[in-house]
Amino acid sequence: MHELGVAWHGLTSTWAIPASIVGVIWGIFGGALPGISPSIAMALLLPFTYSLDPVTAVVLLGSVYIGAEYGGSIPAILINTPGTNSAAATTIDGYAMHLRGQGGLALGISLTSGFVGGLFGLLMLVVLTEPLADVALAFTPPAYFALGMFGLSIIASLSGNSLTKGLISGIMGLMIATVGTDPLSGVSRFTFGVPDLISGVKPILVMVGLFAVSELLAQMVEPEWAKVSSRIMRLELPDWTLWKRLGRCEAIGCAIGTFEGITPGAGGTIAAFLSYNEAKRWSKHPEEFGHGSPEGVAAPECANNVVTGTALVPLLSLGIPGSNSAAVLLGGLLIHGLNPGPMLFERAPEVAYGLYAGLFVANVVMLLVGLVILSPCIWLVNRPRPYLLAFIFALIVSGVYSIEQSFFQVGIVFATGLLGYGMRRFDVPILPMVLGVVLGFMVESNYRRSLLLSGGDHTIFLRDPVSLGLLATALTLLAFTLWRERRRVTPSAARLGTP
Amino acid sequence: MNGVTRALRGDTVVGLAALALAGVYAFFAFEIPHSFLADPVGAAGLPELYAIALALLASLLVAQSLASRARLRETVESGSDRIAASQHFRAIGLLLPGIGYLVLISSLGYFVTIFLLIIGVALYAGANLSLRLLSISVVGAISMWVIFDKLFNIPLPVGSLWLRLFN
Repeated sequence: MHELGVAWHGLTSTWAIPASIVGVIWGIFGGALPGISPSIAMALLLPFTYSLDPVTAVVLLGSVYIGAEYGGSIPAILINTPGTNSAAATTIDGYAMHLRGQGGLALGISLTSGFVGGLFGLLMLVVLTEPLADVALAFTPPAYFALGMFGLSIIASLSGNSLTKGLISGIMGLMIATVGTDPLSGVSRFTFGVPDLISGVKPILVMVGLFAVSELLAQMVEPEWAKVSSRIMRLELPDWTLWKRLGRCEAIGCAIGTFEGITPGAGGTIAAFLSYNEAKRWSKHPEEFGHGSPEGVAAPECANNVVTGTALVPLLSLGIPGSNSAAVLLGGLLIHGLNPGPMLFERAPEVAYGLYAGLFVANVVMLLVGLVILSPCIWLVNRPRPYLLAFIFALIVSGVYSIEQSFFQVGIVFATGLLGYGMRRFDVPILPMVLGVVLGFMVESNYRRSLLLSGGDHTIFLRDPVSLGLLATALTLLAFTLWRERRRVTPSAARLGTP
Repeated sequence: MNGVTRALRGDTVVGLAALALAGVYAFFAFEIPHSFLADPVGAAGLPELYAIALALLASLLVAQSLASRARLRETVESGSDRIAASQHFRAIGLLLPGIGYLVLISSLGYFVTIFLLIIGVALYAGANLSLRLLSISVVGAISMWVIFDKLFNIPLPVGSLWLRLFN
């Protein structure tokens, strides 16, 4: 009851409700533009959150995430081009429905299933986060170091095709985190006499550069996306009979979305495809899948919206971002001096509970706004891409400047954008670098504090039971990923060796 | 050149670039002064470790890609790659209007430079210079100025040129 009161106060004493409306609309527009993923839509707004109060800021970012997941299904259904990665599974049956003249119904199913998934994901977030955070409250410096190492071990599962490249990316992130004043001795490191570097490179700058600027550069070599027919289409909600039919696949989406969301590195795309597959397996009409099955739209859309809630569980409870969008939300918290993790519920409960309440409002807003926003979305998707790129570019430079009125920081964003583009070009994963930047300070400061406590004895990390458990989990995760990669690489290496 | 060969050559490039970065980073890491407040690890401890780890991983990546390429034994054709390279240069060139923005903003001020930035990026991305583009850029510049200056109260540069002209 007390928590409900805090949530209500957080919601009503700030601009959280308008922020959730703006965030959802922005997210739907962003998601509807092919190439603008939820994390990029969030990263574009990140600099704006600097001048907002913390509750409003995190609600705004969380609402963008929710809106973008629905927005991504609009071009997926109408032009067979997923606006977001997680909407890729929706294209299969969504576009087939559109070709059969049921595009409006497909969008209605996407909206309502997304609403169901979003609320279920939020419920899981509320139920699972605080117990996990309570456990983490007993953490000591060795345990925090081990937690950081556990977070870094996620790099293994985020590395895509090459673990080596993922680790390189992660270490480069750790290197960026060492720039600035040393956390313990106060010595300047890698500042080269530049005053702007004394306080270090802010994670927000790295995120905006790696996600948003690199995407703008990438859009220059991407083919132009198809135009949506200007004929205004009406969104059609499923009737009661169809609702009942969709119940089973939505339940599948909820279960898979919960598991995949909580698992760091998995995310909405995997959840959507797995749900699609399982929905087909358990459907009474599996033959319709691929030819315009309503269940083929409902299952992935429900699952990727569940992930919008459950992906925040490891972030809010342990401070570990398991996905791009969670990393950007983490950036929003760090801007306000809030460290997510076990202490968040102690030090800033209004932010955590306010976020819960804000996400609830955002889901409701998504349902309401989704009913009327289709025409503006079609208009936006049909704008000439050069104009869209120009506006997004202007928004980035203005937004980054507004953080600390520093053009040096705008330069850092350009530099990290260039780096991010190079990383995309050479298939080096971006998220490990973000993890390195975000977790670098936690790892270094707690590693050194632990050794100060133990007089340089490294066994302190093994004597602390929490630290030992986390390090063992990290090693297990790493070993499992290495084993999985070896299994995957061996057959392909054998093929490569064949003359 | 097929996709696999190109990817492996890309891995070699990434590995060599990371190796060079590790070298430069190590050079500056070893230059970090020792403090009287130093703990057992010291301010340079982890940076040195990161440099070594990066060098090892970069070497591993180079070795992996060279070994795989040796197995491939395919002839290298560079034609298609040259086309790809020009596209990448075009993409990176999108930063030029941004760099121009950084150079000009202190003298021309926010409003004029953001107007020029919108025009510059749109033209670079393929728009035609037209009255429509000019109008959209003016509207864009006004919108940005209203959002940041009026709504968020961010002190935006007025421009030294205008100050000199009108003072």
